[in-house]
Amino acid sequence: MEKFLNIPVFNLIMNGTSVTPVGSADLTDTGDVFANVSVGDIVHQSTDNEYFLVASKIDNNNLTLTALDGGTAPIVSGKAFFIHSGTVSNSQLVSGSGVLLVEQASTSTVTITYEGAAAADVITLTHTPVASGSEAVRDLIEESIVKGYSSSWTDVSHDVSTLPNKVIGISIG
Amino acid sequence: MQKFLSIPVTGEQNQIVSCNDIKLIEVGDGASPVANPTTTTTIYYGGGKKVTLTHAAVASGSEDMRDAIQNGVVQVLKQQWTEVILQMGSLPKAVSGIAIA
Repeated sequence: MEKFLNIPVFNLIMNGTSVTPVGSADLTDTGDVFANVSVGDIVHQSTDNEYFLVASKIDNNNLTLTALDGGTAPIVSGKAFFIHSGTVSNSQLVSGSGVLLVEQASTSTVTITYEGAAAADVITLTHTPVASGSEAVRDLIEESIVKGYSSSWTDVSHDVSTLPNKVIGISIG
Repeated sequence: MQKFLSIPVTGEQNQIVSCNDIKLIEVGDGASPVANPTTTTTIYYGGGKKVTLTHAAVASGSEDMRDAIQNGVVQVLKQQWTEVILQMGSLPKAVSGIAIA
């Protein structure tokens, strides 16, 4: 009996590398790359693995940010960043079958380890951070797996909400 | 209970692909970082096996093919056990090849 978690993944809008922030900006880039960015979108500064929300858009090259996890703002030059929508998501199925363990691997990742020895038998969900010591997203995933298996066999896909945390990426292996 | 998608492949009629023990379906060809995201979709199975569909290009950033495969998997798994195959006749893009690794 196969069961899947249907997880909303918030869409990637753009990615880039920061330049020296201008004026009151917390994140600056060039080429009007922030044209499609909106207040409330999620900024993942991946070089140091820090998360922010867009607080305001000064213009299409400059943003102000609110740190979600104590991250350092302004973001200095040379940091890789990814901006995800805070509102628009597309759902992706993740298996709830053959799960051995769900773990809050860090404040911003949950791993699902499946039976099977291959390195590929691990799925990682990357999400906006929980508080240090919290396992909130892990608990939501665990609860969803249990709900899935306690429902009819014809209910194959189960919608999962990890709110207030938002999943921004799913990878395997 | 085995279930399959029956996928039309250009020049090869239809080929069936397993819907059992799927862990994830993702755009791209399974390389890390993701490669060929507009022309390939990969189905990952337990044990590290993966099946990659090569297809006509979707728009950049589109997940239409992945979503169509996901929807097919869910549909066939909720069918009664005697309905082993789901015909995938209306995929967003034509599939030109299926490979396993």
